[in-house]
Amino acid sequence: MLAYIGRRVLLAIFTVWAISVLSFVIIQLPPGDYVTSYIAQMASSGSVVSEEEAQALRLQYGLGQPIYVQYAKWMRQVLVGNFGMSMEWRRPVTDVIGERLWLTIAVSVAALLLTWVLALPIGIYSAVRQYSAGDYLATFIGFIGLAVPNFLLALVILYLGFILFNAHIGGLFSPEFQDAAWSGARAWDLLKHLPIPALILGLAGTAQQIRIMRANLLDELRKPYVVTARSKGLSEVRVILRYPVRVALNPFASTIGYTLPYIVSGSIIVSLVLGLPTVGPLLLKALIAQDMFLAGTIVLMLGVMTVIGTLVSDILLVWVDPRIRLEET
Amino acid sequence: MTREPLLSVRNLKTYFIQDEGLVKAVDGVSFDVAEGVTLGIVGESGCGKSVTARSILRIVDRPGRIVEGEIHFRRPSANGGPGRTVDLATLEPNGAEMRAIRGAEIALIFQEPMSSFSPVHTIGSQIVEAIRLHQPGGRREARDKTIELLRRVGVSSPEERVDQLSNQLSGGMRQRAMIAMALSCHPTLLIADEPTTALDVTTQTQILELMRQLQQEDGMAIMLITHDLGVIATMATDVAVMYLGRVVEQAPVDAIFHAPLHPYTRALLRSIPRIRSRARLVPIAGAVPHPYDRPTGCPFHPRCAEFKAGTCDRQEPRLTRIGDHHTVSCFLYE
Repeated sequence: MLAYIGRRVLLAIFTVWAISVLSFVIIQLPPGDYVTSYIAQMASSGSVVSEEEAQALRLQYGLGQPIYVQYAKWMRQVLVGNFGMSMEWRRPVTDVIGERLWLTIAVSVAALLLTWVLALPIGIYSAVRQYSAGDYLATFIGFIGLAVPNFLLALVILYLGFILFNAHIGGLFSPEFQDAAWSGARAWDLLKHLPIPALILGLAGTAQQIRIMRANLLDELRKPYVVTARSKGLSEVRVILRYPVRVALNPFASTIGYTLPYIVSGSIIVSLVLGLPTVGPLLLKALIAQDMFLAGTIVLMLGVMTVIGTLVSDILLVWVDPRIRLEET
Repeated sequence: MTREPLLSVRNLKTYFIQDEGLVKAVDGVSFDVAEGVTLGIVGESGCGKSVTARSILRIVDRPGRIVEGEIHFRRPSANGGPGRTVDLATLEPNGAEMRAIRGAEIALIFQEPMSSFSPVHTIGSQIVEAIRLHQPGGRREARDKTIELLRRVGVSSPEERVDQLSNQLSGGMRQRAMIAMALSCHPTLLIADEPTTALDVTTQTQILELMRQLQQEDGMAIMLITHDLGVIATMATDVAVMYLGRVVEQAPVDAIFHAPLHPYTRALLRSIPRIRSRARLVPIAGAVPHPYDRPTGCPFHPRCAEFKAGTCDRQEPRLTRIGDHHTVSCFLYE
């Protein structure tokens, strides 16, 4: 068990390293170096960068030196939490991302939790009462949820909120808390704003998970061990929750890995529509402006989130399905 | 003195109502199981043996439903007296009384030893669950009982097996564990649905021997469902022969093997090989009809050697008593 988790953690560390190389490549990708584009951008806004100033910048980032030296320099900076300067914002990348990262995680986790809270019971109901009116309703809503782009849903909800309640639903904070320091009141305000973005972001995932749960459970419900459990005299609810649902959870748990980063990267347009101060819109802007330190950092963080998600789902899987533990030893 | 039978099934009909048509899986089955004896139920695949078993336990899967009939089961009483008889067919399938009977008084073991235990729970936890459901006592006590049960059914090193998953056990061990679970609450009736079909021959003999030994010790009645007449011959006291959802003949085991009455029973016996016999095997002509396309009249008439036109294909024979313990459903004896 411990050996299994240890092995997973080692693999995760290796993967994170590979992702860091990839992020570095992304930073290096645009033609010319950072300083060239910086000068170009300064020029376009009317100011001129002197040759000395440019030279100083080149030195600072190790430009002109071999690529692995540049990577090592960048890596050393990253490890102490310095992700470089965002030239678009002319502030350190950590400042720019700052709170947005935590808000992104908050929104993602809320969306993920909502997905599970909705998808699990609905999926179970759909399978146990296959072809009932409720199953058809869940299937219908599920397919709508899959088919409607979530930004459209965001627009519709914004519109309805405005028309019906004359309320602006977007954002994660009320205006008075927008730039306020963290406090209990601000956290509560965030909690009040979370459900709608979480619902919109989680809908497609929820629909998908309902289908997955339904299909898995339908397979399991016909297995002989369910008859065994029933023939013991257990109540039907206990039979279903303790046996087939437990087995059907297996693929459910293994999808967390990619759900987490999907919510972050898939949320760009929704975040723009809803005006969410998350990382998604920042990534879009950074890519348009070729703000490569910012973009590379965000890619790195998304990658790390994926790895963490996968690690969590691996560990969950061992707990859900002890057979995996056996295969590993 | 003849006591009221432990289980008495009367005219049981379990139908599956599907879009494609109505499947009369069990269509008027009647038989009795006396206390402490083994009733063998024999018949070809699809004759409704398993559905009969599941109907008694009230665990028929949808869209199957008991549409008619009675299942009288005598519940044991606390003081060892005759007990109260209930009609299981009228109980709520998931109601409290049915669930108190299921697992505790009527237990089931069935064919698939590979998948009849949950793949993600330990063997022990599944048996402990059954014990704690029907008997007082704590987890520790139930666990000790479980280990004792496993030892009793011949599972090797039960202290370790109790914490293993089912896929760490061989097929024979799993079936032993299954029997341990079924017997955990001392049922008065054990329904064994093809308990040895998926096992190899040596294991088969061991499992049957184990069941017989446990029956002698615990005194429960066994309803043994099988298509294997050899198993019937070694195990059963009485035999009910089923064909297309009906019992066509019920008699003590000797009468079935030495003086079979129904043409189907006779054909069935002719189709099993015998050592020291040079006679050719005679297969039963034709095949079991498709469930959507049941023959009219006696369901066996299209395959019957003694078919009488105008009678067998028009009217349905009734189960008729011939002698003390022998009943048969055929116009030859009406």
